[in-house]
Amino acid sequence: MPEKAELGDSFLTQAELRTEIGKHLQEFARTEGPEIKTEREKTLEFAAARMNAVDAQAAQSITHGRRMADWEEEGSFASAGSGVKIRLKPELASKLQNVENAIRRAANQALDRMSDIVALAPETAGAGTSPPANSHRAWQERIVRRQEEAAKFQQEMLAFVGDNADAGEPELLRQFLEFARREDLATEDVQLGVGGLHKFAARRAAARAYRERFPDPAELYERIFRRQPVGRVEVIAGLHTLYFRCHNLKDFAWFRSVNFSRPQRELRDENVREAAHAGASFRTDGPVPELNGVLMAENAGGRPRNIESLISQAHEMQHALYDLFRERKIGESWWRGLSKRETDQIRQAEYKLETSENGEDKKAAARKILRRLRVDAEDRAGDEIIAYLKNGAAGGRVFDLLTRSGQNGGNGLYDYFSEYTHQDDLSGLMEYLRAAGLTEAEVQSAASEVFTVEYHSLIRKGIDVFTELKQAGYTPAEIAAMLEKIPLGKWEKFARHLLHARGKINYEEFKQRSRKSKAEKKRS
Amino acid sequence: MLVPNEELQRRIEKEYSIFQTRLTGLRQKQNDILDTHREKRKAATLAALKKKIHAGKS
Repeated sequence: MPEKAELGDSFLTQAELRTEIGKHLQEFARTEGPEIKTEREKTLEFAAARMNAVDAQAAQSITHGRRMADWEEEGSFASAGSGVKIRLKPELASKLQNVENAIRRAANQALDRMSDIVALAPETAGAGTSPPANSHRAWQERIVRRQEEAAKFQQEMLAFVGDNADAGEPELLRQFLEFARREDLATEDVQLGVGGLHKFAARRAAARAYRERFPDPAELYERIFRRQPVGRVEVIAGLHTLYFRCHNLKDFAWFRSVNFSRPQRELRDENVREAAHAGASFRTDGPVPELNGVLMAENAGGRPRNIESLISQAHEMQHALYDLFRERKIGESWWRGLSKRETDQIRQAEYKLETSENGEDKKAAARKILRRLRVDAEDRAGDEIIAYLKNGAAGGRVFDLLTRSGQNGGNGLYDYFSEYTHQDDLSGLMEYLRAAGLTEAEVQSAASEVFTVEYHSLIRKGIDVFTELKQAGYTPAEIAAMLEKIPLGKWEKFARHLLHARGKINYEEFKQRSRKSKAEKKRS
Repeated sequence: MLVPNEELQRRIEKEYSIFQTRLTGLRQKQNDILDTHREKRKAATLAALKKKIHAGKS
């Protein structure tokens, strides 16, 4: 294991990395900032801050009212999640509900008016383009443009890095800032870009340092994964990645399944069995922190480097790219990483579940709560759809792969929910739903609705979106770069707006699709 | 029609203060409802207590 000092200063801790990014941003603001941050952006930022404040204050007032009501009834701050039944006197509950509704109305009105005002910002109706018909149109243009820019940026940077493999971080950053100025990128995108480039440069340096220090593939494997390979191993260095071609299944399974954060690492039989179904794999965690997001492995099985191997590498490379610009970390527990707004929505559902007398309402609230457990799986499924379809896989096959069950010894390579059955998250939640008055059958039917019916339909729709955008003339690489920043559940909405803004579908069609998706949401 | 950015920020600020005024009123209403409820409950408890004491005496 090489010492940090031996490899120069290319490895940074998380804290150092943040400071570095901060420094770049400050420098950027000093030298380039005034030109990049336009007057319009300042107004948008100002509006966004005020809108967030409205949201937060409304949510806080609603929570305050409920807490006080809890206090009244229970004599303590009974939290909605603790399983304590809240019995409000009907009269008090309905009065408070009226106030809550009024708060929501006031907040929505304020938000609507603010977004109408924002739509009048000068550069939105800029020279050369026709002025937006209404605020909705301006908003649509903004979100669509932002994703198109992201796609353009990723392709430009990849082309640049490909041509100048040795360009240092300052050079990459300069290139990016030029792009940012030319395209008038939003501040948060500049931040995301700088962060992604920094990660890229650090990972590239780490990958190279290891490769140079251990030119023998078997030794490199052993040094990184702390285990001598059983069979032959090849290493192919990518832009910022190390791709191991493992010819022995056990070497591949070790890479794919072993939990390196535990002191005792062991390879179980089921790990080997599961690995046999997989072609290749990418890990964001690993035994060497500075190589996180760098390592990929292929189940090569003695085959020469053929077209299949190249496709596998391209697939894993897409995961590595996705990881550079990812804001949320995969594998985070379902309740961590939720925004304040999302937490509030869950709290509302819990409140409804515990207080409602109507069976249908109760079931709807239960489904809402269960959906939170799906977030992680949706994120991973979206990532897989992009990686497969970008490299030309057929939609039907991808759907089949992603929805196959892992139960009863099946080949559920992507059955993310089978992991949950071992977790306390789900069993605790099921217990809570039963305590709230749902029968066992109702709990099971809610779970199957959320984890099977809805989840499969999400995947099916995601694949359809990718296909439709391809038919509309976007290249797979562009589509991948646009979609990878959007949660799977929002792809359809994004595609609708993109196609309408770019004149691929007319207003009637757009409206019809909106209505359809709204109706579907209402039904669930 | 182009509206200067300062003017837009002023309008947004105005909307924000309107919202805050409404919210203050609504929170007042929320507290009033809870206060009334609390008073009623106290009165009811007190009445029940008195009744009990009375029953004990007789």
